[in-house]
Amino acid sequence: MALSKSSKQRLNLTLIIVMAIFILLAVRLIKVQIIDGEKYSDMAVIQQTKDIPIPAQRGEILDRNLKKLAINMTLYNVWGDTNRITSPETSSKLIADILDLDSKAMLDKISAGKGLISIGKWIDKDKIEEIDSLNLEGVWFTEVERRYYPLDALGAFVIGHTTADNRGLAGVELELNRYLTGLSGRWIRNTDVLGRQLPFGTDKYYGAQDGLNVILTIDEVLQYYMEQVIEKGREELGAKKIMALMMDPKTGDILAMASYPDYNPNDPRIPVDQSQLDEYINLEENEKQTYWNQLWRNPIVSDTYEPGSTFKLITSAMSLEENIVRPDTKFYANGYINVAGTIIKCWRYYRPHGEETLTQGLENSCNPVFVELGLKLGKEKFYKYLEAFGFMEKTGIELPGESSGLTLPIEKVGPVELATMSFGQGLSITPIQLITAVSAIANDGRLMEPRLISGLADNSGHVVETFEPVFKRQVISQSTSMEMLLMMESVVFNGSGKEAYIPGYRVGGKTGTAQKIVNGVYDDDKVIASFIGVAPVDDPKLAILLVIDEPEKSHFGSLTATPLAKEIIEKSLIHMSVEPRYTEDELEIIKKESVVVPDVNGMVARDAIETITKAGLKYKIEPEIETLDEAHTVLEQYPYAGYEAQKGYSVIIYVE
Amino acid sequence: MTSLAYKKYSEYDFTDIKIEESGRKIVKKKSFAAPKLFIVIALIGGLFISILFGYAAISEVKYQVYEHKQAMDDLQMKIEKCNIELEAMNKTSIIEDKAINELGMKVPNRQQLVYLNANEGVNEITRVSIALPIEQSDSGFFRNIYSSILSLGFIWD
Repeated sequence: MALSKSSKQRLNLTLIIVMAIFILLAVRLIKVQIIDGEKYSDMAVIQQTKDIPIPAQRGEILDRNLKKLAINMTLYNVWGDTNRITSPETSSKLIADILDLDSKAMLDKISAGKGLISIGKWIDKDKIEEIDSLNLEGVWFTEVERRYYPLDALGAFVIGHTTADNRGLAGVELELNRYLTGLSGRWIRNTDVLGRQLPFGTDKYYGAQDGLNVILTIDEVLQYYMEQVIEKGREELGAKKIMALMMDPKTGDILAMASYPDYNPNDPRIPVDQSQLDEYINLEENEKQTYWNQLWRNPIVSDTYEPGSTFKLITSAMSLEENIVRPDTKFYANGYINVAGTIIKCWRYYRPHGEETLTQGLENSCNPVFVELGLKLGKEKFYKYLEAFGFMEKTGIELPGESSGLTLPIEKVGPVELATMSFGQGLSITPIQLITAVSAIANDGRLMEPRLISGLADNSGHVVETFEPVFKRQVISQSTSMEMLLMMESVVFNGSGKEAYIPGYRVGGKTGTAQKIVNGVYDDDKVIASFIGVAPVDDPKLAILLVIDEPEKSHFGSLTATPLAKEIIEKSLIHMSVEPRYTEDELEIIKKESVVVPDVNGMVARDAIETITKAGLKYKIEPEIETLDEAHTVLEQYPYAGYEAQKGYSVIIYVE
Repeated sequence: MTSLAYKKYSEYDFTDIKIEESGRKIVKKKSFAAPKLFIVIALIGGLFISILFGYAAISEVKYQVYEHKQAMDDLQMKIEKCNIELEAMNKTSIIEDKAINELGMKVPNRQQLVYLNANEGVNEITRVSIALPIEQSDSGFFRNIYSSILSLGFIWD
């Protein structure tokens, strides 16, 4: 059958149209595949590739005995989509009841209609399950890691704290953030729109590398003793600020570091102290950040103060090392000294110390003796030792915001300035600098760098890096060190440090009372009282510095800081298993104060009580019985008969 | 006749013959086809059912795995919570408080403390009593020998 002409034409036209379409498609294909191919392929990769971050767990902070000081806990944040919450009134009331929040405030927040809002932060799982069971529309939860400090405020200035997203903000948390943070992991995979893995796509998993655990040199028990004593001192003395610091002189290890007022790292923005809390509540919003920075500031490393008489130890060590004086060199103090026309008085100018040796001068804390030493040394040598003892530089402790000391430039130092610096006024140092220098005196003249971090460990507990003690330099000779320790012991035994005397332990130290500068002049009413000590002097295990800023009840370091320091030293030495060695005199005194525990085994309880009381002891009955009769006899006693106990000690009697 | 029409005719002719041939063959094998088909269908059906059951079993196991994972996560959370509580209770202040106020314990005085001389390699316990240093200070040559012999007692222990 022959095709008509018109049919042929239609066929040709169709062929042309189809050809044209194919050509257009080919052109488009060339554009998509070749010209814009790279662009589309990139777009496809972006669209198909899912990059899921795998968060790394923050390392823990442990004390020297591996007690946990900072750990992580899994909590939840509650979020709400204001556009999807169907009944804001009911939802806000139900959630507020579970979370113990104000339902009205929550309703206002939801009603404001700002889209995604935070309803609750750091909520535990039980409460989340409770909210989840309500099946509220537009409410969901996200899992978050939160830093938790099980010891609350204990060691707050050392440990520091983190931000809400677990970045270090203060203390070790900030300084060692690089070790603690770890490396986040990634899960990279190509998926379709429904999230299914593409057959020939990428699927790469890079696991997170958790942060390392940081092992500190701090001992939680010593830290507790220190903070306990500081708390007691605060109540008794009503001080503005109390700082205490304990160091192992041989290694430079920081064993405890505390300051009052402090804060709780679990709630770092709210001051612990009531008076500070009152002040905080009345602050304007724009003043709060400055206030927090001040609250979190560690005064032991960041603040300087005039050390006063505690600095006389340094002047003595310099002078002994330079052989310009011996411990028994005699001085005559008539209550004051004239330096280039300026009269510098001794604290006991009204009843001068008269003739005294250097050791006695230190015991009496006699200013003119040390002025004389300073002038004999000269400013060049004085500054040389200031530098050697580390007062002109930062100690290098692993804590943020460390300050170096403040001293006059040497060219501006005249005889008066040198004289005042010799007894610890006119120069400003940090507590960490002073204890480091005195530790060098106690450590055969070897200056150690303060060490706060002893090692880093991984999650399985393996120590991956250790930080060894760092010896900086030899400042004074071993013989000078020994002479200094004996002089320090003499201060505690005979001088102003008597309150630090502990039978059985050879304690050495020096008290200090420095006037504070208020509006450019020394204020007699505002002082910094302090005590620095070393124990035992025959084998130093610890050096301690206790500084009280503006004590209200008494101004003298010997009456304020020294008794507190003594309590810390005694408890610490016992905890460190340092065995006491009593002198014969001490044993005599103890013997006089002690009684032999009588044998009350098998006796009628009433008679036993009488016998114990007559012996000068107290008693405790176990189990507690209200009325004792003839039938109650003693089964056992503790301490056992023949034990020598101090008068007033309680004997436990176990009755039938 | 155009070439197109010829082709059509030829194909038709050829197919006709084929049908005729195969028709003959099918008729011959018809008696075996029904049971064979039934077996094939049964086999395929069985296979599908077993695959379905398999999938069901896998889903069940997957569900169980998910449930166990959830339970494991919950337990992990509980362990974490317990650890946190334990750490919070492990404070020296709390231990001291409980020892004194709940257990009625007392802080030992200096005379009651016992120091272990572990470094000396002898399991000797030294009680720090006021008597011990006096004995040491009074000790003479013979007393020292006697003490040394006594201290060797651990050999026979």
